[in-house]
Amino acid sequence: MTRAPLLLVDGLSVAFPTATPVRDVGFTVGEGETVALVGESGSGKSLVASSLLRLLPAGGRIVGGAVRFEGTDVTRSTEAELTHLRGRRIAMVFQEPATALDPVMTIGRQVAEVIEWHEGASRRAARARAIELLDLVRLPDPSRRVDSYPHELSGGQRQRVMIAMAIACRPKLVVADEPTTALDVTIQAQVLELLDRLRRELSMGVLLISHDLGVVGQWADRVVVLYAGRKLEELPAERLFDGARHPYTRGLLAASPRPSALGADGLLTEIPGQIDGADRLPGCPFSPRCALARPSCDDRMPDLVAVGPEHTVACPVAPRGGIADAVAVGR
Amino acid sequence: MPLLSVVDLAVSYGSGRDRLRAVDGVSLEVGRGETVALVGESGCGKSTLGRAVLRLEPVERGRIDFDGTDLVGLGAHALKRLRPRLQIVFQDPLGSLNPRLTIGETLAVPLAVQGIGRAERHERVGAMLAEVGLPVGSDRLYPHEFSGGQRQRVAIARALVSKPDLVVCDEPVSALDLSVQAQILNLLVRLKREFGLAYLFVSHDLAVVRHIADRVLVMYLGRVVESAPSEALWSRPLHPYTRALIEAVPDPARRRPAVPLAGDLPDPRNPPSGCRFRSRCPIATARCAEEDPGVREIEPGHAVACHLAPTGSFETTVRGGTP
Repeated sequence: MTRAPLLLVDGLSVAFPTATPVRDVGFTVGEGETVALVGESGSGKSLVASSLLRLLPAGGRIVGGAVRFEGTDVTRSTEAELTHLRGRRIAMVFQEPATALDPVMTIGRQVAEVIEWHEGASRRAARARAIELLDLVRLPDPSRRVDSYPHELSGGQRQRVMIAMAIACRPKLVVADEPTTALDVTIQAQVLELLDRLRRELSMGVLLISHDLGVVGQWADRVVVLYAGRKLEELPAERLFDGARHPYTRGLLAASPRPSALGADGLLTEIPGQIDGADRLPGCPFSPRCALARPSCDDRMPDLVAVGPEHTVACPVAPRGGIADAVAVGR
Repeated sequence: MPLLSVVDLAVSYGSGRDRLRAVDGVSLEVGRGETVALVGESGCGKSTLGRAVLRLEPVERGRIDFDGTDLVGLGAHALKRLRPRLQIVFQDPLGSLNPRLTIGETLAVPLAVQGIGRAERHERVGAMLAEVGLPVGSDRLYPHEFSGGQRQRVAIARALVSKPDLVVCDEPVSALDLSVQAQILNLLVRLKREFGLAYLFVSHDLAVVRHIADRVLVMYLGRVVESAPSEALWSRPLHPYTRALIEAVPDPARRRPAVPLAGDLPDPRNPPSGCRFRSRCPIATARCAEEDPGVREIEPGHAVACHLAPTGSFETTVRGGTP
């Protein structure tokens, strides 16, 4: 890629008064590309997403690094510049559409309001455009449903409305924070397919935040693995299953209940211990739970080293080979 | 004789036009030491069924035979005497553990109800906490002092301390992170082997179910659409809904997903006529709207409620749908 990426996050750190839950995280999202941030609770993935629009929870602030969107450093933008960015250039889709939508306003009004606010459209034009958008996200019978209230829709339909609001102003980047976690598996497949179709048709970049390796492996182009606020690995999604190198990534894959992950005793390969407190460690945050850890792992955070095309790993002892070896190592 | 035998069980809420039959004529058996999973999406009735088996939901009709006793006709006193043998683990341990009791106190309650003396209670509580992998001294802590995974260990210890025969596990790992989920699933498997437990395992997660279950019942809108030994269900799913569920599970080893199932769950108060899945079924015919398919056994232990299963055209129709 010779052009500057749509989004470049470089050395991002986020601090709260008593903790630094995101440390030195960097990645890019190109135009029309889907990049996934994957991690468990406490990985900092949602804080990274909130940082992009400077929507951090109270007390949180960006203490290091840059977030360049279309060349502008968002961390230095004024509130007026951010208002222009939010919703119009970068849009967000949240996990819980039931709470993100206003329960006492029709969905048509909610979609239309976005268009009126950002594009100064008339009420009538905005309503017509809202119906078009609801059709685009394949809400059944949009000209009638435009007057429905959120509680009259199913969870999957509400998420379609959220996506319609997100794409209303043709943003260049959509940040989807666990967009299908609250949905049933067949509805999840519908919503992910919708997001992917819109990405292609509108050539948007998508930053997909997820805890689900299956989802990111299937829908992303590249995957960034976070743990306790640190980036441990980045690799092409199609290599995730066979080519992951970091002991944490491999541990997660081995802990997923799939037939190939089972040991001879019929048990899953566990990652022992828990994440609590790992964000305060000076070295690799995963080392207390890592079967391959050496004393030096606790001294300082290992650098991210390129180990293949678009593949970087922050682990000097990361093994080679497929997941079958990782299962063997874990035992 | 199976440990648990449920025959034509129905559970409904409300009345008249608003009546919602959450479980509508379900039969199942769980043998000693067996894990039977109830799987399906929101609103299919799997959790209601799991709770109804323990008489935690109002039973409209049907029988629940537990080790030779029909629980449906049982009075409160007799039911209470059976409770130690019938236990449950909920999805959210923080919501199901009393925040004002220490873990040791919570675990001692079911033993005190059985009239077990103080010294033995203390001993059994300590042994149970060690069994689920909690550190010594955990009995003096309160639920909020544990992490999510540890709290689920506490909930499992609470269920097992009265030495049950059957444990209903209602989405026990759904709220946990993947790395912790594997720890808890392994714990459940080890405890089952050690104590000869039977599980009725309620879950929306097919990967988890595949891992833990001996037999699986797939539910849709209050009914069982397919039941089979675990491996048979995955190697030869017969119902179009089962197939769609399996195909919809994202798998990092499979790059592009199959065509997703269209449509939404119908209103459970007003389910479709005939086959309840027909409004979303890619291969439904006119007959499916007129005639309830009923459950047929296709091979030993493998039953399905579908007019069209198994037929030759099945595979191509489901997999070759329009994008």
